[in-house]
Amino acid sequence: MKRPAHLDAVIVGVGESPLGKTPATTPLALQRMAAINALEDAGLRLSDVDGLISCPLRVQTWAMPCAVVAKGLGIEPTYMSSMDMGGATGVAMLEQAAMAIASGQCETVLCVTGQNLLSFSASGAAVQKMADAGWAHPDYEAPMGPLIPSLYALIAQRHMHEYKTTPEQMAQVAVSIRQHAHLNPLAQKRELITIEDVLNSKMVSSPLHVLDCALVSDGAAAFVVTSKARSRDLKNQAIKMLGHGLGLSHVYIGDTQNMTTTGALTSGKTAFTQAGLKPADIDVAQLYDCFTITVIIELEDLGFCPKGEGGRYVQDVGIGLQSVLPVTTHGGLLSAAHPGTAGGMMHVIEAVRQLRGQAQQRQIPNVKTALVHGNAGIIGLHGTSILGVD
Amino acid sequence: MRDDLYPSFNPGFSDVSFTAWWESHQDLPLRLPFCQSCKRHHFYPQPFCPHCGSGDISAGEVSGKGTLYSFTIVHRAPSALFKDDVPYVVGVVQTLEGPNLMARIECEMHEQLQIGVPVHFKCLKNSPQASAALFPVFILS
Repeated sequence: MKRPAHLDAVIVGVGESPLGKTPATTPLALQRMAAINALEDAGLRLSDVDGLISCPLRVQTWAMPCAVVAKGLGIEPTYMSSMDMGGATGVAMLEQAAMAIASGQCETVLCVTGQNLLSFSASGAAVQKMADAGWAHPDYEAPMGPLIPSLYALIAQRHMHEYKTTPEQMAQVAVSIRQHAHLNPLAQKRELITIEDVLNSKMVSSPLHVLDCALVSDGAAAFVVTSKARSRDLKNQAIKMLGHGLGLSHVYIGDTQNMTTTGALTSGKTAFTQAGLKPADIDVAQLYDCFTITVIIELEDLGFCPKGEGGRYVQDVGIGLQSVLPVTTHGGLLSAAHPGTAGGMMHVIEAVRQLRGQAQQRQIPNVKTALVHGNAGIIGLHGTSILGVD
Repeated sequence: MRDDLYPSFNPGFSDVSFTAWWESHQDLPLRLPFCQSCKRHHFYPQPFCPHCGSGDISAGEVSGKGTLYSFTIVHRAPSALFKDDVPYVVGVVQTLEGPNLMARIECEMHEQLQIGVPVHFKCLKNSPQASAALFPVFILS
């Protein structure tokens, strides 16, 4: 297969704002912090940015988000895009930035988004805002009163039925990812938890407990993509893109006859084919972890274990830092932060840090390849990127 | 959809009105969109058949029978509107005619809930729930 030209772009900078509860701030202020940190990390300035990709928010309605963010940062890029692919946005941004550079529209793309999802109002209002955001069909699902966790709970219950997955196995996902957050000074939740803690935590929507669910956070994330030529005189090691893929099965969970096999099958296959790699070649996987069941299904559909074995894989083989495939090593949405779309970008940031050897206490030795996976909606839309260093 | 019945969410979201669906919650039999061209039911209501693309769609009576494809017991209400219902059961029903649909599930004890059990549509006619019948209710058969 011919190698796509846009895989020649590289990631040269990553950064985030403070995460968790960051009172008295605004989405633009958070995004500026993340953008400046990512540019500093790259050794670049705002004036070097000629491409910008940003996203709609949940806490404010912005006309033309990319334009609002550009003017907020004081730049006038020659390439701009507003993108909303839910939790797959981080991965999709990488691909789109690389395509914009390959086509000659621009040379240095800043991808940034973030918001004060936790602080903008009481947590109850955030939950309602999320529940009303259209993840459940507004006419044929939302009237029954499902939370977003309820929609994933339907998937978890079905997976338990088809494959004998257990609540303990799902809890192990939360426990392992919390161990990673424990070693991440930026993470919102760092105290260690046990399987019993997860099982004894409040039931939100059976079989999912509160500790099976992602956090609600303030925060912003940013990364900088540029051409290989531009990257040569920059200070950090350039991170190569080896493959990208997207996959779609459904929008609404009531609209699928198969809840437990997902578009990750397609996105993973495309990304692995472009990269010329197989799952066993991956050193670390930053898997989207909006709920514990999500990670189990992604492990299966991306080919890290046979279909239906995800729960037993997590229990027997493990996803911790010492395991054969460490998963979501920054603490993910379950423990580091989930400010909406920026949450999935943080999986990209962590992959870059692991590949550079800059993940401090959570560093996996000798990382040459990293897979990043984003999942959007109710497990319907997926994006996979495979990144690497020489 | 019936904006008067259901004003608080997103009136007019669906690009086709399917009054039969909303009315059937209160009056048997249950009706689902039926494509006159390929003779198959589908759900959700859409302007064109998701199977064959035909726009010739009518309200087709169905048996109201199916099996429980999955379920969850909701312990936290997403908004004040649902506060009095907690805990309640949201399920996906695999209808005998084919389409899956989301519904509230009623049962005496939550322990009875099991994937694969037969369920049937509960007509809300003359029930106190009827005025609030914004969604289908299925009960364990």
